[in-house]
Amino acid sequence: MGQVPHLQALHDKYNDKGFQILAVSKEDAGLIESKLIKGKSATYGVVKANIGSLYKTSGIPHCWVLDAEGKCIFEGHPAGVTEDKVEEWTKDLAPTKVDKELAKELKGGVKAFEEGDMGKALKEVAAAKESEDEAVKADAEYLAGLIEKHVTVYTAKMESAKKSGDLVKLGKTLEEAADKFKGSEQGDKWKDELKELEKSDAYKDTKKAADELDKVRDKLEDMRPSSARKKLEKIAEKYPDTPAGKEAAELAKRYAE
Amino acid sequence: MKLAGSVALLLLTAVVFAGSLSAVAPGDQGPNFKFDKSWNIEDGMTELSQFRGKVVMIESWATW
Repeated sequence: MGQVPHLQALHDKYNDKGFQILAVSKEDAGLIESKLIKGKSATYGVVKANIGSLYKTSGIPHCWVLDAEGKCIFEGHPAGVTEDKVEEWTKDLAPTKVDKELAKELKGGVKAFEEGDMGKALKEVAAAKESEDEAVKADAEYLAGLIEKHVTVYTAKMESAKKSGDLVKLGKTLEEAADKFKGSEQGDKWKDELKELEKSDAYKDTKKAADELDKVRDKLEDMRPSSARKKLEKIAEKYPDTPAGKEAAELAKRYAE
Repeated sequence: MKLAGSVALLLLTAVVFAGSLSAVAPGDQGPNFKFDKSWNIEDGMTELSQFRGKVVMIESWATW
């Protein structure tokens, strides 16, 4: 079996747009290499891991697609993952690569952008916008547009975290966003917001619940289902109003007899 | 009667085992897992959760 041809095509077309393939097998690393890597043309992500107890399936190949938040949005045979679907799933993601050749004046900006340093990329864009050359200006606008998409995605993530009351997620998003946009006005704004958030009691509680859940989650695989359930239920009882508390309650159900 | 009871118990056990961990379906949060080894992915990526922000296709396959 091995390689599914259309995976490579999907990877080639959508990887730059934020679509990541992880072909997972629990087999021997040498076997995996001989089948997909050595002398083969697969350039999509391949992983050795045993996920059978987490991602149950009665047959392979089988796949699951997770959205940017880690939520499952598709489950079934890989052939069901069509270009149309991937197009739809990735259309709101922020690009991580610049998909066309830009003026050499923007070389530093493109490099910073692809490295995720939006603060620096914005500075380079601002400088290029001062250029007399219209083509350079246009390219600067283009790069600015790509950067703006990242602002939009972060803003949307923050809004959804606020809406669901997941203050930990909000904090993490603010931290990540502020870091990526370090040195820019936008970055400073997010940094200030994070400082305010960290002062609130609601945030402290939500964070405690999330930390406890993370600790238990790391050990779940090695626990008996009954003790896993007890640990999870305890967190759910202690922090019923937090997202981690709710997630613990949901997870506990998975381990219920 | 005794036999029927044993069969019922056996069936029940089978059902309990099958249902102890339900499969991941659309709408569920995808459980995290760590990689024992990886190819063709960025250095430093060692577990699924590091791919948040991307759309991830987890494809379960085997060489046979």
